[in-house]
Amino acid sequence: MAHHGKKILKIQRYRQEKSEPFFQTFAVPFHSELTVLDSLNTIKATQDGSLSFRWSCRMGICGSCGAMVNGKPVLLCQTYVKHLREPIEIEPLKNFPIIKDLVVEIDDIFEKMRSTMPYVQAMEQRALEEGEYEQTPGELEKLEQTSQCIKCMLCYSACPVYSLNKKFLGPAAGALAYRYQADSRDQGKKERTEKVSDKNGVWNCSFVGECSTACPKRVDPALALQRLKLMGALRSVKEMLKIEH
Amino acid sequence: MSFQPSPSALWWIKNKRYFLYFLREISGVIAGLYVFFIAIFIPFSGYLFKFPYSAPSPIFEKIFQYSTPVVFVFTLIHSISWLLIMEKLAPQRFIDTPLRRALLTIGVFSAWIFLSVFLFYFFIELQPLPLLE
Repeated sequence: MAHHGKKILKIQRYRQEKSEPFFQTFAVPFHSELTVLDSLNTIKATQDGSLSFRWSCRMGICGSCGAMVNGKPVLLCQTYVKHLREPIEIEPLKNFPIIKDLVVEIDDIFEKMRSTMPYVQAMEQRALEEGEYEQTPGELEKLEQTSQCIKCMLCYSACPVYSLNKKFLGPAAGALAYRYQADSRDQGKKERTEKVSDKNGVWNCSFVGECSTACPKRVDPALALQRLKLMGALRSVKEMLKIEH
Repeated sequence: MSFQPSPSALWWIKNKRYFLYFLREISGVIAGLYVFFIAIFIPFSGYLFKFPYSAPSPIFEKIFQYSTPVVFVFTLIHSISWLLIMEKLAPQRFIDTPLRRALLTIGVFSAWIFLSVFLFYFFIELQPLPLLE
């Protein structure tokens, strides 16, 4: 592939033996199809093998390569260098503890996701002969959007509420909870509603909406959180009025 | 040992959407303070909902005169920004198509305008509440 000049990248580095992160500048050969992930791999292969970053599929489906590029949370494999102004500043995802260079600690988010009961709870177990738990296309459509989440954590990086309160359930966990709340097969809605409506739950969301803007899969976690609030509120009213489901 | 960066106090100027969100929230606080101000001072002054108003003191009048248009702008910002996101707060079965979402947005804006005109006419033009002279 023909190269046309070089592009300058300023990458935030962090070593645990140093107290503060610092920036390091690199130059990479440019071509029109160059992504930021390609640039980092070039740097690692030819200039600094100690540069650390997560990546896997390189096609926007695994969610591993999230980082801040020129102040925005993006997937590195989906971000083309030709669209970026120089010098291109690459930092680890905001709102997460930094382990090394662009690698951040995301265990907290996975704990939050686990807390939302991210599985279908069917009250009646069926024998194999009885067949599948069927859904109509309309029922599937209700959960399809939020099921596209690839757990890339860009939404947490964009969320100012999470930056101030690390106990907040957050967008991706909320979207995951909504995926199962909207599932017609699930019988655990009451329990899940209680879990996501606690003091650090969905009601902490003040609808900034930046999570939905950052999401590379158009999951719209802001919408999912508002729907969870509505579901929780309606459930409370029905329980108060003792209306049977 | 991982490094935990601290959040910036000026996070809300980082991009346009953060700023609009901050404006939405602060406009509600400003409108609320204004209503509180009115609720405290107007009953004592006895000039409830009289338009054009007259105040018990020149200072009060100046404050009221200059703050009212500013607060009005903030109230508009607050109302419009919340009404624009109403479609995300409605139950899914009512807004499952783009047309329904558009109709909901038009509906809430229409209701807001109608209610505003009604309240203006009722309280300002008709002045139904007794005025203490």
